[in-house]
Amino acid sequence: MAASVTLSNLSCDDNEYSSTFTLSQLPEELLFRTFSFLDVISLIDMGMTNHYYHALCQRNQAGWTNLCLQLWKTKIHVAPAARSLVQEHALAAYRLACADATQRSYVTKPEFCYNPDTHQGTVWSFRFKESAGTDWTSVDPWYRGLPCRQMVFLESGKGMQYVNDDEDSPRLLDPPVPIAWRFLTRPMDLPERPLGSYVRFTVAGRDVPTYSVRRSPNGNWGFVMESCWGLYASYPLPPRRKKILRRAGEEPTWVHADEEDWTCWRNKRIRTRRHLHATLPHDPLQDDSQLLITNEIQWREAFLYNVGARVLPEGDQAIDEFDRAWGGV
Amino acid sequence: MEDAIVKLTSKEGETFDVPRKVAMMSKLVKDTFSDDDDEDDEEDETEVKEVPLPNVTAPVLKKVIEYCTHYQDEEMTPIQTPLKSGTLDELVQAWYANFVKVDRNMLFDLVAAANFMDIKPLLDLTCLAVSILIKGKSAQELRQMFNISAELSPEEQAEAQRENAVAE
Repeated sequence: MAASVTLSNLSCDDNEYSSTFTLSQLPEELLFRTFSFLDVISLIDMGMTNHYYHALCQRNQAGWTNLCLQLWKTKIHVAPAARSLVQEHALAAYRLACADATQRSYVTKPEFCYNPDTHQGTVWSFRFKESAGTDWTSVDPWYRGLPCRQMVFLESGKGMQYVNDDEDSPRLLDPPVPIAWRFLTRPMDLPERPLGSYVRFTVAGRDVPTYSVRRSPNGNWGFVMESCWGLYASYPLPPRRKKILRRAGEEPTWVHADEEDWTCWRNKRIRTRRHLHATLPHDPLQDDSQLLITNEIQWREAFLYNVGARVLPEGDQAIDEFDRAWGGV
Repeated sequence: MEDAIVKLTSKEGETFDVPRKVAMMSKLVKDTFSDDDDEDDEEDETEVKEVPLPNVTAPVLKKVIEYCTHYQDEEMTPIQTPLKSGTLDELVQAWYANFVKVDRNMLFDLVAAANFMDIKPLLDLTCLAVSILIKGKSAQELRQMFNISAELSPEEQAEAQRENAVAE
């Protein structure tokens, strides 16, 4: 009998039990049932043992369909091609979905838009960044600890407010000022990227600094789009974490209130009413310092907006034209 | 009827007297009774039914009977995917977690027996136990553990590593 690793406690009644079956002699249906309990990595490693298990572990019955569905139900956007493939070849669908989520950082029109007839599509959450200034943050509900404003964008190019105070019937309202949207590929301050990487909003007839699209940094396969002044997410943004001033030590510092609760609880071993919040993972979108598009990066578009420009130039020549017009700024 | 006994006969010819209710956890046994009931005009309640199980050795059958007997007193927590934990003790009651702490060879035979006798909860438990042996092991460790030979070709290895990278 070949040497092997014994992992389980031997029953005190077992005396050199001689097996009828080895793993490879179990019928395929039983192997599939066993594999259906495995996580992705374990299933792949099992499939790397030899030809026979490699073939078995590739099949839908090994558990890939369930693994796809389990993963995707936690994700905001899953490539439609992957969903279409799952019944036929679930492993390929899993692979396709993961590759799409990690390699594609631009949004497609179906992902971006909302259909008012079917109520299908993306509802975007919006908040201003602190860099927008207090004129804007003071009227932004997120800064008051309230849910973000929500917007939808129609295929027609129109932006609308999404109001969901009654979950049975969300409403679309015209925003206080007209909002139009379009994709572009080469804004002035940012490099050229595929269509769906940048969104230009025109608010009350004036272009605002371009929103740059990327995948959400929290790994939920959603999208965020940010400019130097604002942030959208294709899923509900969590409420703003309160900050308090910690006065311990030489210099007082601002810390998130839930981290302070956690610190106090850890130090004093006293549960506070709010200690549950201390276990929430830090959301990188909460903190403007963790965001990517700054005033320094988008300075030309921000400048032009601030001096009253109605249209923000785009394309490869835009920077040269800006420098000719505003050289020395 | 509740006190009726069923004789289950192992591959070696060893016979085990089992309460009917316990034996009927096996759909194979249950179906055998159903077939017999269809054939007999009058059921003789004193007749002890005998069910041959040529695919199940005596030590394994003994374990199966132990499982089914205990199940009458403590029904096993259903095993559902996705698994909420990677350890047996957190998925099923302690008795059941200990039940499958057996030699690996016995475990495989229990899987086969549960399948042959069509005892779903036992099949779930034993397959789960085998999967826990597999979890977290590298391909090389799995080859050693299960005495698996014939490695993948370099092309298959490369493809599998690509899959691994995407999945991670």
